[in-house]
Amino acid sequence: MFSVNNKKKKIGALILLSMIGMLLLLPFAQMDVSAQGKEEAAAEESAEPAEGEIGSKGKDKQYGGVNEFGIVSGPPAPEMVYPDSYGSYGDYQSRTLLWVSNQQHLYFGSFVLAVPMFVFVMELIGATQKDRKVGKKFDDLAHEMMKISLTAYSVTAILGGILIFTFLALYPGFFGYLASIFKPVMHIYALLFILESGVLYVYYYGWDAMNDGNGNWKWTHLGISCILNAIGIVLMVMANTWIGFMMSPAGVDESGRFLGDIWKVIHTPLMVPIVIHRILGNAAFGGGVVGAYAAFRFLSSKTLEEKAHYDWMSYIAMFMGILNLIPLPFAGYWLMREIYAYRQQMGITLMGGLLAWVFIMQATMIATLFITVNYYLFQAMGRMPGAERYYPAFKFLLAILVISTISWLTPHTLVMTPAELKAMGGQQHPVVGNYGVMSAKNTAINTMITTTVLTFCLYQRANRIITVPWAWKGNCFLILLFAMAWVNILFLGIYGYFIPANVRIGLSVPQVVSTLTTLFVGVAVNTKMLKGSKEVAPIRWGQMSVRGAYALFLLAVAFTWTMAVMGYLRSSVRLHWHVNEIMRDNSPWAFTNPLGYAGNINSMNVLLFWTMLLFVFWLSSLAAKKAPSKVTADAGEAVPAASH
Amino acid sequence: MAKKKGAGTIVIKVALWYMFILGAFAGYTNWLPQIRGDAPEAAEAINLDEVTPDQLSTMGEKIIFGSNDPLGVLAKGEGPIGKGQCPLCHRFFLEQKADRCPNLLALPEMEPPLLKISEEARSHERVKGRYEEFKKLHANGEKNSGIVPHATTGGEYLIESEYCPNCFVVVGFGLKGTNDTVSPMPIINKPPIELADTEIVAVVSFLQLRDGDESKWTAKDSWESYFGKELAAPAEGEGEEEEEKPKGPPVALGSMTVDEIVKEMTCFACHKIPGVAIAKTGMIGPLLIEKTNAPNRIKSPEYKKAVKEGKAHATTPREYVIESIMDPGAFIVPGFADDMLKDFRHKFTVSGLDVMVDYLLNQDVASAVAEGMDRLPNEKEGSILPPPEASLGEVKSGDLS
Repeated sequence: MFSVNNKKKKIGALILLSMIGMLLLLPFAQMDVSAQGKEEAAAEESAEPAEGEIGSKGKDKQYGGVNEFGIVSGPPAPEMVYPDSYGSYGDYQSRTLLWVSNQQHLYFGSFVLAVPMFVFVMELIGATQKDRKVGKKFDDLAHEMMKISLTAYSVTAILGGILIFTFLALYPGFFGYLASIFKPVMHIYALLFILESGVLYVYYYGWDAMNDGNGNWKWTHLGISCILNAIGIVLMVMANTWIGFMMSPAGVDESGRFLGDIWKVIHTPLMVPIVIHRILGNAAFGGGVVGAYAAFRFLSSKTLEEKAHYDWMSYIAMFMGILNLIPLPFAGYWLMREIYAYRQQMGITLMGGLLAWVFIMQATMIATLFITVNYYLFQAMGRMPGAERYYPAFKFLLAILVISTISWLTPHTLVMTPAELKAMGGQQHPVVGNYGVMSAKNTAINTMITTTVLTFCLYQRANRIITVPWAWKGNCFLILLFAMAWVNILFLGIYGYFIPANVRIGLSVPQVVSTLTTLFVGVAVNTKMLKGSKEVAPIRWGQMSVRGAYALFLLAVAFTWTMAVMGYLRSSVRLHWHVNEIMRDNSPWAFTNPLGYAGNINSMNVLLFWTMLLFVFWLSSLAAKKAPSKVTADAGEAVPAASH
Repeated sequence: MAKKKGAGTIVIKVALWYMFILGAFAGYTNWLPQIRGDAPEAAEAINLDEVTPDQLSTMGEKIIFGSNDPLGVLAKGEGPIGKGQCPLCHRFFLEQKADRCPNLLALPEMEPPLLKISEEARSHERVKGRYEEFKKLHANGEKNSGIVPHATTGGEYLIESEYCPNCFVVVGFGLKGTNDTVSPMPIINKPPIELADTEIVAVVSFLQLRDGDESKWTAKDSWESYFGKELAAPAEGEGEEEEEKPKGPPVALGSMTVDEIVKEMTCFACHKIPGVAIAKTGMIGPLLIEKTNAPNRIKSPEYKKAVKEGKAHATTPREYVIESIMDPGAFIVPGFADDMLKDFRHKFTVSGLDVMVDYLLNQDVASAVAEGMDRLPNEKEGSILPPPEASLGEVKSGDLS
């Protein structure tokens, strides 16, 4: 056991932390040197090379202004010829094989990126708790999750290897080109991966040794967690740069010649929104997976103590997932806006062209997520004495969610027989057709999020009696806030029907502002009102209904499936291009698969992922037979309001 | 106290729940409309000396809408989007919704007044007034295309707007923050759309001839006067380049004719196919008259047996023909051996397969008899040729016996 006064060890920990930090910067120092060397080499070239040749001036495909030109530093993108530039395994579509290996790697990559984020927050909450008993609960939860993540790291690395082999075997020409473009940073990616493994081992195996409650060693340990997460995010950003480049290439000329500045290749028009969307998506997905794990352990627990622990853990995981799910539609909206700004026809292909039906599927998935979250919270309130007073509101909240879902799912146009078309008098239904446009859909999703925020506020209050003297004013303010938000969202939604599309798109901003106001202001006021509140009775942890646990499984599968369907969408929007507008797909699979095929592959991918994850859970459980004994939560024990 | 459930039971229950959810999601996606996006076909080779304005206009319509019946496509609930992708942003019909770019409605009788004039006249109006500002703005050449705006007629304006969308931007349709000086439209002769010069002329021909007045057609002349050179057909030059490339294995593409596919896939080596000059003598496989064969085959006891065994899966004639090409071992026509090549699924593109299947499903007894073709003696379904005394007129389409 460490002593707080053990100065030598503290200094040692700080030195270790500094060394890891320095190692992090090392690859970037090397990048600067290489970039500098290139500039010097370019300066040494005195003869004027011909246009398009290495060393000549090339016009950037995307950048303008002062960044418009660069020095041609690579060959043009090769023209892909079937079968020379492609491979195949037997009778299978090469693209589908690549799809599966990519998706599996992505799932595990997302999981091992999300779990350390989750763990960091839990450990931080644990370290900052005044009540050490509660602090230890959070710390144990974080430790348990890290244990699972450790096994998943190995699986992620193996799947990464399989992915590279699949690329090399089936798409050698394409992979060769991308590798040549990203050559300056590829080794950094590999080095960071090694570094991450090292940091991970120090972090995990040093957990008990550095656990002095909330002392200096614990903060050093949290510092290592920060570094681990920073490396994870940089790794994810680097992996994302490939897809960003494939969708919206920059840093190359029209023929795909590298123009010498790797930052421009990385910083494509879609890079930032894709990264933000991915980080939020990963975090939400991580919450879903942890929630499913906890729900499973909850169902299979043999003692009430264990049940209480996993009930509480599943709630925390669900809460983390939702925290990231709520801003996700806005991040998605921003990404779409950037796509429209980058190439209008790409945006329309997504939203109103070939891929429009995928958005109906996406709407189904998001609606499933929100309805499930609300359902879980309704169920969870069953174990909170005092929540009975809110039960009558459930049916109204559910009705709003269902109406919003129906409106969101209504397609713009319907597939009809000629007789039906004649009977309807046109392609669009005179009434239902109105719900197929963006105005209705924006209104629906904003209403659903606002409703979820309200359900959460009710959950926060469920077993509490507010005692602050300004309670009635607070309640009036909250009622007014939610009512005004709904009215504003609805009004702007209707107003959108009377203005052109390019103006209409701007209305989504005030709609989003209304929603976010309920989220931030509403929850903040509600939390403030709960300060010093009286407890009706403690939450009966461990007495959550079985239906609630199964709702968490649905939540986890829906997260996983949504990731898959949106991946299909993002990838399909390139249509017949490997790298948009630069490298054409000339294989026999240069067509966009119909949605049904994608749905089958997605379900298969999700099943494969969860089967592998079950194996990971089982492996970690072999080493965790003693874990429940660490559980300190008593059945029915109250947790602090902060965890609500 | 109730007996606790073991982890195994819970694993099974959760697995079943997962399977149910995944099945429901997959089922739902299969229930939604299935739209496949094919890669655009290569530019059609045309003889510029012989092609008529109408032919160019028809070709242009196909490039814009992907069909020569765009209203029919709209009625099916699909977007009539062709290789040119124009209807993604431009509105051509009242039934269509697209307002991101100037509308291209051709309805002279409609209000407001702008719609009263034809596209040609409307374009002619645009090369006056505000156009001069764009001439000054791009006096040194527009930066993406290198073109200096210099259209003088409506026809030239239409041509110019395809090669250099920034050379003139209609008020209200520019990118946000550019004061209507930068267009959101891509350059049409460059990736990702990459139309050939003749295809652009075809598109302009369609726009000029929509109201049926041939006197307005200037597309080819406008192109030549705008660029100051003669319009060249796409096949020239490209063909020479093709010759130099190492030839890969045969592939059936949607841009090929049935004759070309049959030749490339060597179907003729085994099958006789009515209407295909090269496929008159095949003696190894069945006669391919699938309008007649396919409906009967899927009803046959032999096929039903194959379905029961899980080998065959077709329920419609179309599925049967696709299955026969993609998975020849699924069902062997009685009297034949399983010796058809099994690699066609790698050789046919989806659109190439469509071309072949559509053609075969149109061939029946009458078309075979008209060319004097008959089934092979080992075909169970028997001869289709009438007895010597009967005349051709007595053979009905669909008659098998």
